[in-house]
Amino acid sequence: MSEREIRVFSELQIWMHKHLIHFAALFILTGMPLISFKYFGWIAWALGYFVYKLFPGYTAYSAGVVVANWLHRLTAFILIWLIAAYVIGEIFRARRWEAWPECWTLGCLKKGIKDLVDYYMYKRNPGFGKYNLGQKLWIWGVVAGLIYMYITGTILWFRLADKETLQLVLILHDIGFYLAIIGLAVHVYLAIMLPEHRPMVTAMFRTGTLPESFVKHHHPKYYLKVRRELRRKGKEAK
Amino acid sequence: MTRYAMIIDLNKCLGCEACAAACIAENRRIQALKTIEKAAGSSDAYKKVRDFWLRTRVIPVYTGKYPFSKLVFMHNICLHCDNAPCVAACPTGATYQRPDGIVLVDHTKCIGCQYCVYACPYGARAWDPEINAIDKCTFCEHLLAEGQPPACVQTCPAHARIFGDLEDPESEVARIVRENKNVHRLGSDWRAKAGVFFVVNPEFKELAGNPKFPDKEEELEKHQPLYRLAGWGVFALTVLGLAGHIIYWTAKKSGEEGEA
Repeated sequence: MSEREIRVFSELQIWMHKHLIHFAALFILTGMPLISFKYFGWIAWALGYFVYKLFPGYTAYSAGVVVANWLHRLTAFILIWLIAAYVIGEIFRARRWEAWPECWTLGCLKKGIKDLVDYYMYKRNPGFGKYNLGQKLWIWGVVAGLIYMYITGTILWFRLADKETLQLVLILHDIGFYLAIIGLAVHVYLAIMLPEHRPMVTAMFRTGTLPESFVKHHHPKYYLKVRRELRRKGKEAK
Repeated sequence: MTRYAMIIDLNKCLGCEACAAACIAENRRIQALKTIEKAAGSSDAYKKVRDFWLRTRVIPVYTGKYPFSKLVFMHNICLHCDNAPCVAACPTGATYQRPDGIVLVDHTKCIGCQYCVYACPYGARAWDPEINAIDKCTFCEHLLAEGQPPACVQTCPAHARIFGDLEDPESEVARIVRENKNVHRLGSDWRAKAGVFFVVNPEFKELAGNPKFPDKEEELEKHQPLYRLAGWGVFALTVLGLAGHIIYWTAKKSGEEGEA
């Protein structure tokens, strides 16, 4: 008899996460030549090569800069609608996201950090819920980062400030880009390079479920919650 | 309607750089003085002064081999293109083109992102911290408003730079463009319309249509093979990735359907 699977991600979460990767790739690809033409001018060349002949007077580089600029904005425009659809689809399940802090005290934070060190440095199992403190911070960091990039990006696109403020906002937008790259590198490394995380990766990209034994061992607090809920549902069904 | 244009007769140019000096005196005197002040006494004073950005430059170009080598003085200047890439690239609308063809930068709107610098195929723009904006040739629009031609045109001792209204059939520029067969526009594409024309002898004709400007162009040229390789690499990876993505998911779906 095959092991029972526990659903950890909804179909919508899987779909959104998958497409966030496409959008992040587009943002990075189109943002790099804009942030430093000196080092990433070749991306502008690649983007502009197939269209520059349509525009008299343009070179592959100059067309690439314009293409990168507009693709960047188009990506942002499409993504905001997908995010809106995602929020509408997920907001009613907000209590089950498990991304909220377990408690708000300083002691709680300290314990969360200690658990992280124990887990990532010493390979101990502190008994996490669905997410540990680092993962929760990452989730809210992504939310805050997206809002931050959208605010700064919108100000830049629609010139919603005076010249000096726009100059500052441009720098802030660039800093956001660098922080996002660092965050993504850490996220991808921890997700892919640690073998014990692979079932979670499979769940996030394909199945949306985890084997019961895995949840019991790696996410005991979450397992207790799920079991309670399953029992409650079972009773209700009877 | 007026369309201001400049003709630079490379057959007449002596390479004296009086045009560049006049441009500095008229438009970038403070910046030049500050550069000299900063450079004075430092060990790399020559480099600092040499690197001072000019709105217009004279670049010696040699062709052929001795004893048949030839020299021509090419000019680097904003071409005030119609359909200018810098205008399209500017995210704030600071770079704009007037109805008379002059491409200008509104300093109050320029935020210094330098996308226009990257977009300009001719290296005719640069960031100027003194004015806190992008600097470029304006065809001395302040002088035009007073009825005078640009400073470089006034100064050129060889009358190699000629300025006027292209739409006025009686003007010297319109006449030269109409009658002189050696008049060329620069640009990667001959359909490009620009406000600067070059009179150049047939042996230097490759200059027109294939501009080789220093700094930006040279730097890009230097890395060209690498850029191209990287560009094709990115393109190939994207196509392969997309194809792999589609094949994998189609196979997976049909497999799942088969199992079901």
